Amino acid sequence: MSDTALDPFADNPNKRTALVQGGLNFGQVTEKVCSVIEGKTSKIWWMCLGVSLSLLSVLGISIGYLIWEGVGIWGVNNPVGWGWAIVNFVFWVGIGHAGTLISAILFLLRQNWRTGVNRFAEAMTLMAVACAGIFPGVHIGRVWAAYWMFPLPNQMGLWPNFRSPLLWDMFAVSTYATVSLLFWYVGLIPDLATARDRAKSKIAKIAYGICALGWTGANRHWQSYERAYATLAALATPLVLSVHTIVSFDFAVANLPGWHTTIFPPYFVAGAVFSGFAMVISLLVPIRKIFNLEEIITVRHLENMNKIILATGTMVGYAYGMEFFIAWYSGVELEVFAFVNRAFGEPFGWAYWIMVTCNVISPQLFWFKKIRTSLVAMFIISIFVNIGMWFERFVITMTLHRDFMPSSWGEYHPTFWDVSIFVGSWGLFLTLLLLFLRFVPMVAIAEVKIVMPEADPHHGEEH
Amino acid sequence: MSPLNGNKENGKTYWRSLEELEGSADFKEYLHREFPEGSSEMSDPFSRRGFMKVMAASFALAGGMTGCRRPEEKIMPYTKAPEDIIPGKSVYIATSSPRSRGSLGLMVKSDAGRPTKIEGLPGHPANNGSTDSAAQADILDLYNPFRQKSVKTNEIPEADFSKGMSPEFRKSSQKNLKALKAHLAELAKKYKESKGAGLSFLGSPVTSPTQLAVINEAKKALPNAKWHTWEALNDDNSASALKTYLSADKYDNQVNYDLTKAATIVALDSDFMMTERNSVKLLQDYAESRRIYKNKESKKYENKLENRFYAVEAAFSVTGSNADHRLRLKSSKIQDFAFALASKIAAKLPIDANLKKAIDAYTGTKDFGALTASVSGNKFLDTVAEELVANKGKSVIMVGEKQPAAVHLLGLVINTALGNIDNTVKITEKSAKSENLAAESIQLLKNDIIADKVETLVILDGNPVYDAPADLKFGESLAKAKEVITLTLFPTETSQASSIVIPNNHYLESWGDTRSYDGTISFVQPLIAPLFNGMSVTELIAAVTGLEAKKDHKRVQETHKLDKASWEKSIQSGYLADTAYGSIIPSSNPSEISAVLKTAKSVDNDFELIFTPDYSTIDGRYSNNGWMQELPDPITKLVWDNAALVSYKTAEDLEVQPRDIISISANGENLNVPVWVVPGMADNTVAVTLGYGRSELGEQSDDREYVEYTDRGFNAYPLRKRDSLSFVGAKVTKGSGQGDLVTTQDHWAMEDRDLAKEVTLADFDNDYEATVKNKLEDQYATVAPKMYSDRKEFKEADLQWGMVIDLNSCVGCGTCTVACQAENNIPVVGKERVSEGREMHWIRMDRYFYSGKDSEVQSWYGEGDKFDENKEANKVDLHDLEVGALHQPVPCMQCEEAPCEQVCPVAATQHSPEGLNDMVYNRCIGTRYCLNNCPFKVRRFNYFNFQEDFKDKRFEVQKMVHNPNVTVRSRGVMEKCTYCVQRINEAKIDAKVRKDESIINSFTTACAQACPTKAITFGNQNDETSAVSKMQKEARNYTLLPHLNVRPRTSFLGKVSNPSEKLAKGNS
Repeated sequence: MSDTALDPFADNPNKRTALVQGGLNFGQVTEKVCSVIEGKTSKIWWMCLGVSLSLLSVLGISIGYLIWEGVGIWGVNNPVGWGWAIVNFVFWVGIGHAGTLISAILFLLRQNWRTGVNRFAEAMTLMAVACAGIFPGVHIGRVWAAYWMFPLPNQMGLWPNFRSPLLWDMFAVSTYATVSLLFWYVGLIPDLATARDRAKSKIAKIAYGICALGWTGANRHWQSYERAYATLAALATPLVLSVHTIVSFDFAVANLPGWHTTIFPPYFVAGAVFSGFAMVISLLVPIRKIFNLEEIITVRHLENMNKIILATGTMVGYAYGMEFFIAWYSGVELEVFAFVNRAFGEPFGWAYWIMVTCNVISPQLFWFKKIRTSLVAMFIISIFVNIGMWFERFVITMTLHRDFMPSSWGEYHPTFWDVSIFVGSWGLFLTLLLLFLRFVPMVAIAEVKIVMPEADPHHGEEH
Repeated sequence: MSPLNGNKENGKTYWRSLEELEGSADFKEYLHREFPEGSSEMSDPFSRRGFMKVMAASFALAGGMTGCRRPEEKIMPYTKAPEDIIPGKSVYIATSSPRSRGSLGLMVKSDAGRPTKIEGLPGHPANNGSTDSAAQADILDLYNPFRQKSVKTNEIPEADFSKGMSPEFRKSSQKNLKALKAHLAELAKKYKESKGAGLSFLGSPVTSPTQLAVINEAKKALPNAKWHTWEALNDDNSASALKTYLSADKYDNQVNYDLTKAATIVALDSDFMMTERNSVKLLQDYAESRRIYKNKESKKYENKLENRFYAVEAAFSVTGSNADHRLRLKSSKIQDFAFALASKIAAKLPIDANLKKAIDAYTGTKDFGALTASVSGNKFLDTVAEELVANKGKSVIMVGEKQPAAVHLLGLVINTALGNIDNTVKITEKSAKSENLAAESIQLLKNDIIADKVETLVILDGNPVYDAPADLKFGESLAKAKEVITLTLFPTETSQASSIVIPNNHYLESWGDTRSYDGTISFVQPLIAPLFNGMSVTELIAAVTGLEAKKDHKRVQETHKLDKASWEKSIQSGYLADTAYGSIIPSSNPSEISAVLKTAKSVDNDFELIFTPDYSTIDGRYSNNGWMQELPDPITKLVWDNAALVSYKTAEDLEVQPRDIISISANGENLNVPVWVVPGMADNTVAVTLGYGRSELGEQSDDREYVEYTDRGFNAYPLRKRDSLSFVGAKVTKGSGQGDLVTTQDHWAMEDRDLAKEVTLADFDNDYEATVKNKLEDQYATVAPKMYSDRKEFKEADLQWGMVIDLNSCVGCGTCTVACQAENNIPVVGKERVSEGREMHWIRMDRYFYSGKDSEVQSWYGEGDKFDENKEANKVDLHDLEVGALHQPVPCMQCEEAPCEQVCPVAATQHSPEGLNDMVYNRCIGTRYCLNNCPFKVRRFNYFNFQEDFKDKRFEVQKMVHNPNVTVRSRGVMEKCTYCVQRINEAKIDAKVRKDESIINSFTTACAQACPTKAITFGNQNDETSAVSKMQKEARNYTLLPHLNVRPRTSFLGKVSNPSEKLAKGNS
């Protein structure tokens, strides 16, 4: 079957390009994916793990020193009560949006192409949420009392304040993390069973065996599995929208000019999807090459994701413009000041323009198919988007530095420890990523097979 | 690193980039930093404990965290409680702080035997219940662990205090004192024989009748002993003017003012509100004379402001910032102004012909227009003269101590001509006694030392090595005296150069008496036994001169010869009523005066250097005091430092930005110091404050965890010579590099936001709502809904607290900030922490510069933004402006619809039924969301454990300063103004126990209590008759940011200024 005869966008699925290329059959797909976790551990993997672990130890030391000395080691101060920690939190939560969007929403929308990338994207979601989870916990003044946020019954009758967006946030993120983990794990069961069945070493057999929960591939198993998967997908779908909506409430519910805007929820969700997909692209472009999965994770997959980046990037750009418009249209001087200051004020005006360049201008290049399908171009643009989205959160958080009372205006200078904890969080992310790549099938084997032509009951029939 | 000092050997200069060639600050910064911005924090003192600590914390994280417990502390209850102590109940004792610039009557709170808070003594004639910031801060000195703690001589080392008040320390310091006393007895014996020859004393002017009696006794016993006085901020100029004016043979008189009667006040370089003598009283009277009340409903004046205040000054002082009109003039030109004013007045009022001749001789040679070329000086002069004459008998010319004797003399002449003497100007006996002018006296001492006439020098007070005129080289000559005995509260440069150092008793530890500026005798009573084994001034004098050893208590009793009943009554009330000096009606001698006036010469300096007292350290005496050091300067808002202050134009001429180093040459000395731009400074003038750059403070930079006292600011004394104690011609050039100055408010302008409001009296007459109108609110004409203000608890609670701050009375002195710090156990965080934006003050003083009437101030930032002249908003000529400043104290607004409460996830900040926005420290986990959401930014976060020092045994002493009724906050919790909830509850309990509701209306918060101008009113707003409800019904009452619908309980009364129509804009 040659690709040229087929159209990836054809209405008739039979006329579309196959999602798995290179003429792989079921056995070869399994072989390709499983070889990654079954082969010998490569030296490069060990080296990468070494680097990640060192970064992880940077995280450990940064958190250790933070807890020892206090949040004063960061650049946060009186007008700017939140700094890099919150920026990083929102950044990582945002990245954690791609996975669930791909696996849940695209599943419900019957977007078959998602199967090639959903496992990886979901895993990335979990890692990103794990990284995000660190920050709200450690950025508070008394880390040891963080659990007071939970509504734990106690003899003093103390209860958290349900009016606080931070509390909503905690529920939103923890729910999201839980559902994402369950969803990911449920989808993983058939593949874990495959890994178990193929495992040669005893330890692997036992480990995969336990994780596979006795999966035999029986009809009843498949029936329950599909039901559970669809249910979880339905559960996860609203969460994709809610979690960043609620994260945006941290800002939008406050009364600060520049924060207190109704556009934040949709704008944050779009931004989160935008950054999540960018991160998937940044990681998959090299990984599919290294692990020889180019036939399963094809350029078409990547192109589809780039289209989403283009769409959400444009939404984000629209939101940036609309913020200005509304600030002006509202006639509120303080609002106008906040936005003008954001873009042109000292000392953070430059950050705004980095944000605009990376988030609004760079994804527009994806209008060109050539760029959309060029691995190098998409990799570079996705990195830009990642940078831009980090800066977006920085710009929003720094709105604090000039608010109502000019007498209390201040500045914010990140310190060594601000940087180190962010760098360290990459250590956690990469360590988890490396472990995932090495021990878990990174493509949903069973699901990919379902969308292969062979899985079609009418496969091979002439009409 | 100078860019051009590269390789000179081959005659070439190498440079790396254009930036380097230019020597730009950014490039130097880049060179200095190995790591990017922020990373040099690694070398910060607090993180120096470095790696081990980090590792320890990491291990702790791994498993130990759950095992951590708070350190256990033993409580020592009284086993036998004294009969008169009720645990938890404070005792208030009247005392007084002796000062030569005007002693204050105090009422000091004592908890379980330790003084914890200083307050003004109600009813005391000198300060009537309030204080200045320094008096509030005195208590911190008492408990400072770096005081001089034991006798130290060249032979006997200081007792070891590293383990705090250990038995060993007590024992060895007692031993030291014993050895000293033996030595002093020997000295006394020796000088008895020589009748005091070879013995010299140096002290500050004496305000204590008892000390004076002891000195007189000693003089009788040892007639050959010499007595000298020195004080860096002395009143030599006015004293010598008065001597001439009264044809007296001694410097025994002083000028006092009564501003309550003044209709026109003219201050010539006089910062009478802050640094001049008797400042608290003058400030009170000034504020009293400017009260203005108009009821919102009746629209009628209950009290109308009727005076006008003109200031002429060079440096921008707090006093000048409050003037209705202010003329910037170089210090030397103020003399010209005074003569010109005298001549204008002489033309209108009868004046002695000799005097007129002398005045005209001066002004005749001078084109007065030229001297005020850059300002509308002539018009200002005419207006002032006219108004003075119109208000004769109730006007006043006040001359600042920085002006030479001739100007003081002219001030007296003009006041006499206007008939102000004995009305608004009172000449009385001097309260701070000295035989000679300070500058003369110390010169004589120095001569004696050089002539080997001094064998033993006893320094009773002060720090002459640091602050004596530079040309005396006092420190060097001190080495020539055989023995220098210094009595001091803190180790100083002088004590370092002394052979014997004796700890002085703090006034809260000693018996004594003092005269206030007006002469009222107050008693100094100890509230605590001396913490350290030292001596009092009188004890030392008696010991050295061989007088009979007596307890100070007895001496004071002997001096006043009161019977038992009246003695007890007097020390209970704290002062002797009706002991103020009477006014002297002078019979002046015009020919003598004119002879002196004729010697006055007009000075022309291209550039002038002014020495001014520092608002924080005064003359250096508060260098050890963290509360004072961290109190932002009312004008510059700098903390922990002084700077060279220049006007905007001068900065432009010198091509410097704030923090750039300039080089000042004067009196043959050179000073390279960072510059700070202050609008409103006279052009071609640089002002430096005294009292910084102390080299010996008794502590090292690493003695405290977060605060560094050493190496603060620069020492300006080396440029200050005997004949130029106030100002001198100087040469100023741009230096290289930048200094490290820290400010709490680097933004000058209000951004047109209607925060601090000021209207003119004329406008207020026409529109009684002039201060209430708010631009921001006008945009939201709709009525905002109440969300929580209607809650049930509010309706049920009888007491609803509210606060009103009258900006018309507030002058910006900052006393409230220090009082709050003392009352509420607010930690000192140090310069580095302030630079990071972690200052902790619960009530801050916002300062906004303004110029003209209709132009809000230009955006010109201390850092960050550079001034952009082309910006439309900035098109105000900064070069030629009458600049003033508005001061606005900002405590917590206690919003009824508090935005902070809503966002706290753990409900650590909650509303009380009485309308307080309460902070529950124990519940706070430190998300800082409340801080972000506070529109007024009054919340303060403990970024570090600022109580870390108390783990050190030495700081056990300092712990005693804490108010036992207020929680000491640890790291990671938010804190903020509570309206002094501890005082509220105490009053409520008292009212209940004593069944006396009036107690509710008679207590107040610490800030309101301390405020010298009574600008802050606090109370129950539910009570129609309370002061605060009256203030809330004031026509000037407004709240900040009304459009936010947060419904603050703290409101403000707009300021009303009273500018002259003749000097109004567009009337030129």
